[in-house]
Amino acid sequence: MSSLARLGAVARKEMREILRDPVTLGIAIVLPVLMMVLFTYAITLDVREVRLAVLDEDGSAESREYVAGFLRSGYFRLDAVARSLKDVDRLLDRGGARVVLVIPADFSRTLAQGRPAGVQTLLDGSFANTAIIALNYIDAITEAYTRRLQERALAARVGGVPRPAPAIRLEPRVRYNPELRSEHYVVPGLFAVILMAFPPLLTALAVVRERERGSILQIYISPVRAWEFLGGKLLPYAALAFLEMLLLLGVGTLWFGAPVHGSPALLLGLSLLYVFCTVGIGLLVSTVARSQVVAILLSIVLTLMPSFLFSGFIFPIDSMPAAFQWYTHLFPARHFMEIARGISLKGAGLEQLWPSAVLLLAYAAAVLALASLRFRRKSG
Amino acid sequence: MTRLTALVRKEFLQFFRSKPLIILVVWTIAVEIVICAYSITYDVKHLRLAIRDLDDSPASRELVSRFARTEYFDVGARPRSSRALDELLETGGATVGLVIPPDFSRRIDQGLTASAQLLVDGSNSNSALIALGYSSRIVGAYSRELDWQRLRAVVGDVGPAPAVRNERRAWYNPALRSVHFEVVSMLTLAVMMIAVILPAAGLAWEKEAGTIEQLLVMPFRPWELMLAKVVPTFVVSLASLALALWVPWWFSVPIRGSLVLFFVLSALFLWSSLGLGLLLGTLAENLQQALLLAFFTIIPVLVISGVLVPVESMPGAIQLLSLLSPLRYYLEITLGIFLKGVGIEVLWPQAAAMGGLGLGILAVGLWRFRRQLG
Repeated sequence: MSSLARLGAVARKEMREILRDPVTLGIAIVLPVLMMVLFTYAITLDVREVRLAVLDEDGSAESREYVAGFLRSGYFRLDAVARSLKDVDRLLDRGGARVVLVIPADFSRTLAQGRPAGVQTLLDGSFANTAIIALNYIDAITEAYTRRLQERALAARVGGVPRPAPAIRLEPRVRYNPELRSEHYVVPGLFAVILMAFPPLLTALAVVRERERGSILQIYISPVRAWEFLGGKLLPYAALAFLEMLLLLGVGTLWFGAPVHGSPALLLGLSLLYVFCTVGIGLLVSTVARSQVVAILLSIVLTLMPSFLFSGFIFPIDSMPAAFQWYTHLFPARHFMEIARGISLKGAGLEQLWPSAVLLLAYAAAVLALASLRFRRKSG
Repeated sequence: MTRLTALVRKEFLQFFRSKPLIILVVWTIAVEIVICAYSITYDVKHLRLAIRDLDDSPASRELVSRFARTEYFDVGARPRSSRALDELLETGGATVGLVIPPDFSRRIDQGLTASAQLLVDGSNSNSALIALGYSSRIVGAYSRELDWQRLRAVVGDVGPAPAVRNERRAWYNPALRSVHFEVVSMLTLAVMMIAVILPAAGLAWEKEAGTIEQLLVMPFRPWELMLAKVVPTFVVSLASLALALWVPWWFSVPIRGSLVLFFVLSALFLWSSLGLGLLLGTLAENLQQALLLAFFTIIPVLVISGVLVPVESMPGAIQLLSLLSPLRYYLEITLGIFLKGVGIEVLWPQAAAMGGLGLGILAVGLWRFRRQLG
C-alpha cells in the first residue's frame, strides 16, 4: 500500500464515522447556520430606541421643540414623562429609562435673552456602552438645535442685511457600505468566527475519542505513519468545514443580502487556506489533550474565545491597548477577518490582501508541522 | 438521608478528581474576565485619519488641528495623491480621509462657502456613523465661529449667540468606564457556564463510562440521584462566585448594594442553569455531545440576553425571545446590585421572572431525568 492509499483509507473510515453520527453531523451543519442567523439579527452595533424620559420644567414651545428633535432622530423612544426629580431617581433605578432629559424652568427665558441655556442629561452609566453612544447622539441633536436657534436669531437681528453663506461645508462620502448596514459588516465577520468555532473542536474530539477508546493503539501498530493518519483526519474535517463555509456564504448573501464585491473564487480559495488552519489547530490540540474534556477546553481557549474577542469581529482592534493589539496577531481569525471583509465589502484582490494570505499559509504550515511532530513523538 | 449524603460525597469526590473541570472553573471565572476587562471596549476612539491638505494655509491647518486635538482621531498618513488615499482606505491604513481643496482658505476669505471632503470607510457601519458624527461636529463648530466673525465684520456687534449647553451626568458610573459593565456581565456568564456544563458533562460521562447502570441498580430514587448530581455543582458555583469577587475589586467596580441579596438571587439563578444542564445531560449520549450541546445552547442565550449588545437595540422578535432567558434577568439584577445599589424592592420583577423560569426549566429537566432513569 502506498502512502496516499493509507491516507485515503484513514479518511474513508473517518468519513464513515461522521456520516454514522447524526448528532455530530447536525452540529457541524445546522448549528453554524443557526448561529449566523441569530448573530446577524441580534448584533446591531448601532444603538436604537434608547429609552428616554423627560422632565420638562419649562413647558414652552422651545423646550418642546428641543425634545421633538430627540424623538425625530429615531435613536430615542419617549418612555416616560417625569414630574419631579424623585421620579427621575426612580426611573433610572428601575431601568425604566436609560436617559433622562431635565429642562430647567428658565430654559426659554434664557434663550430669549440670547444667552446659552443649560440643560441636564442624566444617563444610566451601568450600560456604559449604550451611554457612550447615546451621548454622541445627544451632542449631535443639541448641536443641530443650537444651529437652528442661531440662524433664527441672526435672521431676526440683522434684518435686511443678507446673511453670509456658511463658511465651511463638509461633504461626507461613505465608501464600501454606503447604506451603513451593520449586517454587511457582521456576515463576513461571522465566516471567520464560525469556521473557527466548530471545525477545530470536532477534529480534536475525533482524534482524542480514539485515544480514550484505545482504538488509537491499532493505528500505532499499523503501518500508517503519523502524517498519513493526521492527513486522513484532516481531509474529511476540512471538507466538512468547507461545506460549512459554502452554507454560510449562501445564507449570508441570499438571506441577508450581504454583498461580495470582490471575487467569490478568491474568497473561497482563501477560506480553504483558513480551513486548514482551523482544522490544523484541532489536530494540534488533539496531540496535547488526553481526554475529551481537556480537548474541548483547549479548543475553546485557543479558538472560540480569541476568534470572538481578538479578531476585530465586534470589538475594534484599534481601540485596544497596544500590547493586546500585538496579541491579536497570534490568532489566524484576525487575518481571515481582514480577508473576508476586504473581499466582501471593499472588493479587494490578492494585491491588497497578500500579507494576510501569506500569514495564513505560514500559520497553517506551522500548525500542521507541529501537530505531526508531536504526534510522531508520542507514537514513536 | 445517609444514602443521599453518600451520593453527594461521591459526586464531590468525582468532581475534584477530574482536574480539567477545576481548571475550567478557574479559567472561565478569572482569566476570561481579566482579559476582557483589559482589552475589550466598544468606545470608538483613535480612528486613523489620513489628511490631504491641498491648501496648506492657516485656515486649513487650523481645521486639521481641530481634528487632531480630539481623542477620536489620530492623524496618521498624508497621502500625496488621491490614489494613495484610496489605497489607504482599502487596506485599512486609514478609516477616515479628509481632503481639503486648494481653494479652501481663498473661498473663506472671500466670504464664500469652502468645502472639505470627508471619505469614510463604511464597512464597520457603527464606527463610520460615529466618525461622521464627530467630524460634522468639529467642522460645524469651526464654521459657526467663522460665521459670527464675518457677521461682526459686516454689522458690528451683534451680541451673544443663543445656544443650548447640554451638561451631562452619568449615574452609577460617572466616568462611563466600559470595564464596569464588562466585569459584571462576564461574572454572570461565567456562573451560567459552570452551572450548565458541569451537570451536563457529569451525567453524560456516567452514561459513556457505563457507571450510570450501577447507580440505577442501587436503591436510589430518581430525585435523590438528581439532587446528588446538582448539589455539588450548586455549592461549587456559589463558592467560586465568592472567590471571583476579587475581580470586581481588582477593577475597582463598586458593589453598592447588598452582597447577601446578590448571593440569594445568584442561588435562584443557579437553579435554572442547573436544570438546563441536567436537561442537556439527558439529551446527550456521550460527553462530546453533552459539551457541544452545552456550548451551543449557551452562545445563543448569551447573544439574546444583552451581554454583548443591549436588548433594546435588537429586533422585536429577539427582544421577545430574550424574555425567556434567565440570564437576561440575572444580568439586570447583578448590574442593579453592583452599580446602582438597588434592593429587592426594585428588583422583585426580575427575581420573580427568573425564579419562575428556573422552576419551569428545572421541572422539564427533572421530568426527562426521571423518564430516562426511572
